[in-house]
Amino acid sequence: MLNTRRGRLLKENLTAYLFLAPAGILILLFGLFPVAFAFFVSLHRWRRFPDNYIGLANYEKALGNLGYILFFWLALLAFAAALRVSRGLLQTLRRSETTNQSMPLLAGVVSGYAALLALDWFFKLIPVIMLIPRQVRGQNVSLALFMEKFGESFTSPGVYEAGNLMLLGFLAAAAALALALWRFRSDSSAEVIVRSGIATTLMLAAVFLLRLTIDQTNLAIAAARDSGEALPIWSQLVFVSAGVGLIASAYVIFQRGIRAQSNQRFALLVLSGLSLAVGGYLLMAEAPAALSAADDDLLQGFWVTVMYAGGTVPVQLTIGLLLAYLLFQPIRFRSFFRMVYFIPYITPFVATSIVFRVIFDAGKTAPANRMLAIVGIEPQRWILERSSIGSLLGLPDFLAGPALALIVIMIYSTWTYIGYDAVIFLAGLGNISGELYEAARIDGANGWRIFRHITLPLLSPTIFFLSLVAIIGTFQAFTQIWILRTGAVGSKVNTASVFIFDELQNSNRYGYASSMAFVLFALILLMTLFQNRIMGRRVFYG
Amino acid sequence: MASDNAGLAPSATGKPPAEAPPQPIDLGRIAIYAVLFAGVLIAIGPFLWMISASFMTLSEVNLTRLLPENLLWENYATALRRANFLDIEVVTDPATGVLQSLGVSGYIWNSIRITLITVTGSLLVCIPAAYAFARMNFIGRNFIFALFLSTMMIPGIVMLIPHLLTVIWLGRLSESLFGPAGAWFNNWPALTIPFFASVFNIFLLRQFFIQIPDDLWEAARIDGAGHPRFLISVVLPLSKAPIMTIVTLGFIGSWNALMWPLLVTINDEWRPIAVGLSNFVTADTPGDLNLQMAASVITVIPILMLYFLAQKQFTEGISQTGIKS
Amino acid sequence: MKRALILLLILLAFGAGMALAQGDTDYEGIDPSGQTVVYWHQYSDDSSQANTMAALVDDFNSNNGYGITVEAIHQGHYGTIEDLMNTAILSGELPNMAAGYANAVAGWANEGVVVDINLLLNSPNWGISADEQSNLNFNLLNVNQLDFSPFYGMRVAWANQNSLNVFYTNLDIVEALGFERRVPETLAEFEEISCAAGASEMYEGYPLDTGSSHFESFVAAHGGAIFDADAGAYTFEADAVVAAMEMFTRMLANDCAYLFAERYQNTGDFSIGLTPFAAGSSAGIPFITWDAAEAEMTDEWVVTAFPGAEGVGRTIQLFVPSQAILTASPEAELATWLFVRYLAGAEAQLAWSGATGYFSIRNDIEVSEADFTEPRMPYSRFVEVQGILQDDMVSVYSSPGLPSYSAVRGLVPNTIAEVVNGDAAAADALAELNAEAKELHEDLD
Repeated sequence: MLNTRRGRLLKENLTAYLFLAPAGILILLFGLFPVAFAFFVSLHRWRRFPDNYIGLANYEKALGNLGYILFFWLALLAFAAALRVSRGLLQTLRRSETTNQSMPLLAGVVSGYAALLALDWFFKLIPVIMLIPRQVRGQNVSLALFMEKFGESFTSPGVYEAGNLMLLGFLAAAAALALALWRFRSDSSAEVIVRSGIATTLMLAAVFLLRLTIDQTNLAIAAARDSGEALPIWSQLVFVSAGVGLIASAYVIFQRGIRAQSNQRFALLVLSGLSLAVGGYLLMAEAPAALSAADDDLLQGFWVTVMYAGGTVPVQLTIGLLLAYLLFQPIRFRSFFRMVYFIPYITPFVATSIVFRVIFDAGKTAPANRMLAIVGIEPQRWILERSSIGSLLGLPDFLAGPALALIVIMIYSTWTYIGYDAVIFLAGLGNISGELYEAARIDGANGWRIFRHITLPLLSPTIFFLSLVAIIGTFQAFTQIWILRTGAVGSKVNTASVFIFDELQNSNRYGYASSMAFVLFALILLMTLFQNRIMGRRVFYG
Repeated sequence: MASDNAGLAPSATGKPPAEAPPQPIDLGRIAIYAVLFAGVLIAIGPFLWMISASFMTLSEVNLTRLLPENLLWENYATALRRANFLDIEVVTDPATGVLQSLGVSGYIWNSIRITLITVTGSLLVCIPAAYAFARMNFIGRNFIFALFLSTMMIPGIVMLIPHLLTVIWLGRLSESLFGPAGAWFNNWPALTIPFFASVFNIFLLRQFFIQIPDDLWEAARIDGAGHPRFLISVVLPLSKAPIMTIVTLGFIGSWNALMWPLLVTINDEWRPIAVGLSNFVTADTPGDLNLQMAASVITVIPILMLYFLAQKQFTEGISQTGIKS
Repeated sequence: MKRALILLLILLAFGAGMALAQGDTDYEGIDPSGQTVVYWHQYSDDSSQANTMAALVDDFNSNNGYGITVEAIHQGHYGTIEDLMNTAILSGELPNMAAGYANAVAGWANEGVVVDINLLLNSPNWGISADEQSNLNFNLLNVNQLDFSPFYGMRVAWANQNSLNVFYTNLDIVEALGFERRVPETLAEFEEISCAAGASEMYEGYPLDTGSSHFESFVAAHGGAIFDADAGAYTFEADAVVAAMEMFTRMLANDCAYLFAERYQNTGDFSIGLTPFAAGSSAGIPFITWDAAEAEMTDEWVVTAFPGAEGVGRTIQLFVPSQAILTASPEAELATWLFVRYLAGAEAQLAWSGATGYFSIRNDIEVSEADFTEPRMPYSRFVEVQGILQDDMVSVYSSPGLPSYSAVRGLVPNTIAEVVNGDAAAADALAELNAEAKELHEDLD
C-alpha cells in the first residue's frame, strides 16, 4: 500500500520519536507538568494541601487589577493563536478542495476536545492523590496501603466521571482518526487533523481563560460595590491595553520609518513619537492605579531582579570578552590562565560565599575595608548596607540604584561567571577564520577597528547565546542571593525568586507562591522572546 | 619565532603574522600579562585564602590574617571527623591478609555515585534526542524543540513542589514494581533522574551534530546504515570533545547541587557532599570558620582534579559546538 | 464552580473521617513491642549534644524491655528539619519524632500530623503518674500546650531541656569605661555604657542582632510582647514594641550599637573582649568560654537576665526546644512516647543536662559538679545561669506558639532594617508589620 517514499518518511518519523521519547517523557514530567501544576495550584487557596478553588484571587493579591488585565490578554493571545492556526487550516482546506476533508476535520476537533478532557481528568485526579497522606494518618503506613489508596483514587467521585468522559472522548477520537486515515486519506489529511486539533484546543483554552477572567472580575467588582467602592477594572483594562498597544505600534512605525524615504520618513517618525507619547501617558496614568492593590514586596522583588540583571550581565560579558580577547593574543601559559579563570565557576556556592562574607564584612579589618583605607575612604558596611549606592555617593534620589549589599552580591555573581563566559568567548574567537584578519590588516585596519568591524560581528552569535543564558540565569537568580543576604539588609536584596521562596518556606502558601512564580515565568518568557527579536536581528551569521 | 609581536589583533592560529617587525621593548605585551595576572589574582584569590584559612587557628581566621603562622593539619582531621565526608572500611582476613570486603561510605562517595549516574543517564537521554533534532525530519520538530527550550525559562522555585509530588508517587509505583530497591525517595533515582533530560545538553549537542557533513550520512546510507547505526559508529566517535564538555558541566552541576538533594534525602545513605557541607556550615551552634574552610577545601578537591584532567577536551568541545543560535 | 464543589465535598468527607479517626485514640490495650522509632534531631555531628543523645538512645534501645529501637538521625538545623517535614507531610511518610519549636510544631499540628501528648501523658498504663508529674516543671512544658483555637489544650510537643536568651556583661570593660563595676540595672544604663564603648578607641558598642528573638527580648525588657494571647492578636503597635524599636534606632544612629553579618558574631565579638555586652542563648556559653580561652581574653564576664526599662525589672526569654510525636500506628506512637518518657526520667535528664549544659525539665534533679561533663563550659557558669531561672524576681517571656509566628518572625528583620536605616518611621513600619502579621494570623492559624 505505502509507496517507498511514504514508507521511509513514516520510518524516519517513528525513529525520531523513539529517539526523542526518553527525553520527551522526562521533560514532560519534570518540565511541563510542573508548569501546568503550578498554574492549577495558583487558582486555589492551597497551603501544603489543596484547599478551595478561588479563581484569580491569588493573581489579584500579587498584581492588583493588573492580574485580571494580564489574564484578559492571555485569553486574547490564545484566541489569536487559535485564529492563526485556523487560517492555516482554511488554506489547507482550500488547497485540497477536490477531496472530502470533513472526516479529518472532525477527527482533529474530537481529538483536541479529548485532549482537554484528559487534562480535566488529570487535574481532578491530582488533588485526590495529593490528599492520600491525610487519609492514612494514624495507620501503619506501608507501601501497600499507599498503593491501595492510589488505586481507589481513580474511582473517587468526580474523578471517575471525568475519567469515563475522557475514555469516551478517546474512543470517539480514535474512531474518527481511524476513519479519517483509512477511508478519507489524502496527502493533506494529516495536516488537517493536526491543525484542527490544535485550533480546537487553543480555542477551548481561550474560552476557559476568558470565562475565568470575566467571572473573577465581576466578582471583584461586585465585592467592591458592596463595600461602597468603585473598582474600575474594565476601564483600566481598556486604557492599559491601549497604552501597551500604542507603545508597541510606535516601535513598529519607528522600524518602518527609519527604512522609509525621506519625506515619508519624517511623517512616520513623528507618528511614532506621538504614539509613544500617548501610549506612555496612558500607561503612566493608569498602570499605578491598576497596580495599587499589588503586593509591594513582589513589585520590589521584580525591580531588584531588573537591577541585578542590569548590573551583572553587561559587566560580566564585557570583562569575559576582554579576558578572552587578551588570552587569544599570542601569549604563553594560555591554558594555565584558562584553567584558573574557570575555578570560581566550579567551586560550590556554599564554600565561596563564606569567603565573600569575610571579604565584604562590615568590620574595619575586613579585606574590602582595608583596601578602602589604603585609598583613604571610610569603611563601608558592605553586605550589611541597606542604603543604595546612589545615596551613599550623595546622588539625588532618582539615581539611587541598588543597595550596596546588592552590589556585593552582583560582584560575587560576576566573579563566579566571568571565567565561564571567557572560556566560551575564547571558543567563539577560535572559530573566526584567520584569513579575515589578514585581509583587514592588509587593508591597513588597526587593532580597535579590526575588533569593532570583524571580531564583534563574527562573535555576535556567541554574545547572543551568552547574554540569553545570563539573562535567564539572573532572572532565576536565587542561590547567590539567598546565601549572601543578611537580616540587616532586609528585603532590599530579595529578587522575585527569593521573595517567592520565602513565601513558600515561611508560610507554606503554595497557591499564592505559585501564582507569583507563574507571573515570573511569563515575564522571563516574554523577555527572552523580546531579546530574541531585538538582538537576534543584529546577530551576524558568518 | 617573532613571539614579541605587540598588535592587539588576534590571529586565529595563535601564531602572529610572520612579517611583523620586531620591537625592542613591548609595552603592549607587558600590559596584557599584567591584566591577565590581575585576573588570576581576582579569580583564585578567594580560593587561595580559603586554603590558607583552613590551616589557621580560630583567632587567626577571626583577625582575617593572610597566612597562618603554623600549618594546622589537624583542622582537616577534625573537619573530616565532624562531617561524615568519607569513610573507608577495609576488612582483611586476619590470618592471610587477603582483602575480604571494602566498604566505602560518606558524602564524597555518595556524590561520586550520584554524579556518575546523572552524567551517564544524561548522555543516554540527550544524545539520541539531540541527534533527532539535528539530523532527522519529523512532524512537529520545530514546535517540540521550542517547547523543550521554553522549559529552560521556568524558575526553579516553580518546580519544587511538583517535582516532589512526581518523585513521591513515581517512586511508590516503581517500588511496588521493583521492591525496595526501586524506591525513588532517599535513593538515587530522586537525585538523578530529574536531571537526565537536560535541555542545555541537548541544545549543545544538537549544535555539534548539525555541523557533521551530509556526505558522511549519504555514504553511510549507501552502506545500508540507518540512523541508529550512523549515530553509534560515525557521529559518536566524532563527538568526543562535546561529550566531554557536557560531562564536565554535568559533574560540576551535580557535585554542587544543594537545594533539591536536601529535600529528598533523609539519611546519610545517599546524601551528597554539598548538603553535608551546608549542614556543617549552618549548624545551630556557632561554628569554627577554619574548620568550615577545611571542609570546603575537601569538597572542592575532587571536582578540581576532574577539571584539570578534562579541561583540554572540555574547551575543545565548547569551541566545536560553535555556539550559534 | 463544579470543581470547587467536588473539592469541598472531598474535603468534608476527609474532615469527617479525620474527626472520627482522631476522636479518642486509646493506648491502654496497645502493645508497643518491636517498634522502630525514627527521630529527626538538629544536634550537629560530634557535638556533646549528639554524642550524649547517641548514648541515651543506646541505653534506651538495650534496656527498654519492649524491643523498641530508636533511630536518631541528624538532619541539619531547625530550618532543614522544617523543610524535610514539609516534604514528609506531603508524602505521608513521617518520622516518629521530630525536633522543633512550638510554632513550627503548631504548623504541623494544623495539618493533623501531630499526636496530642496529653493523651499519652495521662494514660493510666503508659503515662506519668500524678506523683511523678509533680517533679516536672510544667511552667516550661506548657509552652507546648496550645490553649487557643483550633488546638484547645492540645500538647503538641514535649521538651526535654530548655535554654534562655540571656544578657552577657564584661565587667572589666564596664569599669574601664568609667562606670560602676556591675551589670547595668536599667536599659538607660545599658544604653549609656554602650554609647561610651562605641565612642571609645578600644571597644565597640552593642552588637545588635536584627533577628526576631533578640528583638522580642528587648520588647519584653520594655514590659511588652509582640502577641497578646488573651486578645488573640499580634501587638506590634504596642508602646513597648515601638519603644524597643526606637531604642535600636537611637543606639545605631549614635554609634552605640553596630550590626553584624555572621550568625553568632555578637557573642563571638564579646568573647574576644571587643564589646561590653552581648545577648544570646545560654546554649552558647560553652562556645563563648571556648573562644575567650582561644583568644586569651581574661576579662571577667557575667551572665544575667536582661535589664529592664524604668519600672519593668529584669526579664529573660525562654527557649524551649522540643520534639513532636508524629502520627503513626497507635503502636508506633506509643513506642515513641515511651522513648520521650525515658528522656524525661531523672536519670536521663541528669545525664543530658550534665553533659550539654542545657537545663532540665525536672524540679527534682540537682546537677552536681561531678555530673557536669560539658568540656567547654565551667560548672560555675551552669550554676550562675541556673540561678537566673530560679530567681523569682525575673519575669519570663516566650514567643507565641502559633503557626503564623514562623512567617511573622521572618518579617521582623526587614522592619527593623527599614527603621534603623531611616527608610521608615518606627510607628509606620510597625503598623505595616502589624497589618501583615494580622493577615498571616487570620490566614494560617
